[in-house]
Amino acid sequence: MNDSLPPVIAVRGLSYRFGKQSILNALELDVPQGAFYALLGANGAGKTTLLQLIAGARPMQQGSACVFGTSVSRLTMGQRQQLTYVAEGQELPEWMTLAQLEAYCAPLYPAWDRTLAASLRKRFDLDATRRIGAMSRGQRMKVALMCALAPRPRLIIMDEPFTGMDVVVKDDLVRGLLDAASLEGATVLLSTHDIAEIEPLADWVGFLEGGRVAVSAPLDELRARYKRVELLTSDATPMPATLPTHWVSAEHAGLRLSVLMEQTAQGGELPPQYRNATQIGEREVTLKELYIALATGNRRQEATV
Amino acid sequence: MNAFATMLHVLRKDLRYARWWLLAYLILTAMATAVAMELLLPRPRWSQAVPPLLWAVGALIVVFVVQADAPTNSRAFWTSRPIHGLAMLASKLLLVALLVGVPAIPQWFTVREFGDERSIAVGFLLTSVWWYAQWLLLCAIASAVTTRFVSALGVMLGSVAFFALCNFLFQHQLSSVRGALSGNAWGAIAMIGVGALLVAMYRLRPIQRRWIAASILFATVAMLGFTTSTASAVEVPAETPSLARARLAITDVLRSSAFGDWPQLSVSAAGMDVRYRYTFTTDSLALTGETGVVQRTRHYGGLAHLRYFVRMDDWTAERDSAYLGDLVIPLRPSRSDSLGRSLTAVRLSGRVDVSRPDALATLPQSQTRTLYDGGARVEWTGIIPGYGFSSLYVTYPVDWTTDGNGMARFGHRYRVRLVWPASADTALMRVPETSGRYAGSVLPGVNLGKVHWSMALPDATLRGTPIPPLAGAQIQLIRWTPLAQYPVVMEHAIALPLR
Repeated sequence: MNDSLPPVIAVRGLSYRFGKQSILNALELDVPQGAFYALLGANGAGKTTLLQLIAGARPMQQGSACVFGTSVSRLTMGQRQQLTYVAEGQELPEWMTLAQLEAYCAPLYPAWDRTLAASLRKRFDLDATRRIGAMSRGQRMKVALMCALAPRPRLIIMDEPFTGMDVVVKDDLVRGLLDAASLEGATVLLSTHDIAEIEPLADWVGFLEGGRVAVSAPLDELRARYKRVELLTSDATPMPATLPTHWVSAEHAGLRLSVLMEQTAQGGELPPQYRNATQIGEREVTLKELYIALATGNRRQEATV
Repeated sequence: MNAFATMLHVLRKDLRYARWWLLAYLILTAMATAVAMELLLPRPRWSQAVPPLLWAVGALIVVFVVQADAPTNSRAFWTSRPIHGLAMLASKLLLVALLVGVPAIPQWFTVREFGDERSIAVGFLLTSVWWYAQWLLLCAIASAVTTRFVSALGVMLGSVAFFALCNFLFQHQLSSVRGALSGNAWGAIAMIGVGALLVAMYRLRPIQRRWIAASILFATVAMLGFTTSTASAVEVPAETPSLARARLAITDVLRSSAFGDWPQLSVSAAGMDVRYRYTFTTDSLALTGETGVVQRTRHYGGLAHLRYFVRMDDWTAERDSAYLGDLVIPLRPSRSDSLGRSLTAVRLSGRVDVSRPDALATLPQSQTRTLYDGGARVEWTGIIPGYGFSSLYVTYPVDWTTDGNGMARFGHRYRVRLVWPASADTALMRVPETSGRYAGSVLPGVNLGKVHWSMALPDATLRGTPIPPLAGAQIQLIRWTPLAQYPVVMEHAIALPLR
């Protein structure tokens, strides 16, 4: 990842409506080169629509989206060959065997790596002679991922790749994505609800809410902004009616209080009833906690407004 | 991979995808060829099912292949690949061309086997190819705007029902309203228009269906609006402000290019009381038809719509042939022909139904085959384009049976024997034998049988005067469609000078 380079994806003022319902609202997004960008958001936040627009699978209504510095609608075939997109519920030609699918896809990409394809096929334990229609859902997603990685693209866009997959399949897919992340210069933009699965991979996080990207920052930077503090209180002190502004969430379990807090200048100051509490631990927040923190923070902000 | 290579690449994929269906298609084509070229005689009963089956399999292939890469499906595999929309479109059109081209090759040899002029054979071939291609294009369009087979079927049936309704409701209007399925020029334009829409869809990749629906709706409304509005008709010429008052007379002799010098038509119209006089003349023959009586007249938007009842009693004094017809006359601005005569193009639209079930009972059998073993209902449609937009439509149903060697609608080659019912002493015209041949047709959905009639009147008399044999006449085009059985389409060029 190189911050000095122009972003691979640059979205400006992107709005999209389904009838009267606004899905995206003047959305702005930059995805830096080489990033593994996790796009998070609640159901209906507009993640799929955004990815479809960026991948050119849906016509623009308002605003612009540029990939490799070119408007999506004006991408050349050469540029399209450097972009792969795996849609949620991606359809595959079910009548083909995997080998036939590879033979169909390979000529479309000058950089198609047969060795990588074979290696992915082996890693995913896929039978090249098996018809895709006879494969399980997890295997089909592996096929889609294989077809997305084998061209050695500069940009991989994936929409909810883990939905409905069991743990073993998810693990396989994550390993495959790790391969993708290790591809030279490859950028990955991925939307998912499986935050735990994506945590070891993502280095950038975007949080989509209300049709906008509420937060878009490197994961490390976000982690540095929050921390999880464990306190031991002297008695079962009731929770304050209103949490301190820098507290994102707090959970009481007996005498143990777990607080997710923002590290601000006033950080560390405890409400009066917890002044006597003993801090027994402090750790880095997980991506899931971060997601909750961001969601909570935004909702609180909206409530204030 | 450039666009051309991509197109071929996708085509190869589609051919592999539909390989079993294509094999069935080839087998059916071979069977249709064998039937059309009369390699199987006597013709087996199943041969009648071959052309519809060929069409059905061709349509299925188109639906499967187009829906596999439907432009309206944002999750379709091809939308996530670097495939240019136009290359995808071209590959699908190429497949349609292949499906049309495969049976067109034996079709060519079948037509040529008749030994006719090359230009006529080419015309037959192109017409049949175009007719069949329209159906496959319709399937392609229906498949492109849908993602499921059932939906595509619904769109196709809906389109057919729509055009059939238009044909019924607007049978006296311009051919554009009468439907794109009739294979006329307006139909071609409509098809090309929808094809262009398809191109746009592929170019824009997934386009919202509401825009497609809105475009089709707009085109339909515009087409219907234009055709039914007064803009499509021309004001009645100043010298004939009202058909009800003015006396119209069309007395110039008409000449049919297809019939050579044989049939000539003279029409006179006198206000509400329309009278026709048919004059068929040759060097040695002149027959005159009877007149008609107007039952209803409507006059709107420059169109005169006359419903009339005509009795033809000059031909057969003992057995009147009566028919009810509709006549629509849009009046166009006057113009002059090459002779400086003032001409007004007139479009006549009529339906003639002649029923003489007992007539064929007296038919003598053909020397070579028995073709008629039951009643006959004859229908032919004549389209007589004249100056400007004028044309003459006459429908004349044809229905007959054969001796089991095949139905005439499937283009079985045969000899026709026509006899006008008449008793020995009252016959004005007798045609004891007319030889005819139908060209076999390989292409489904259309029977481009070409009838070559050589008429002879060895013992015909006209009011007691012996008539020498007539010269031959030719019917250029015969079609069979699933929507209308046995319409025989004849095309001639006629100008109707209107005084």
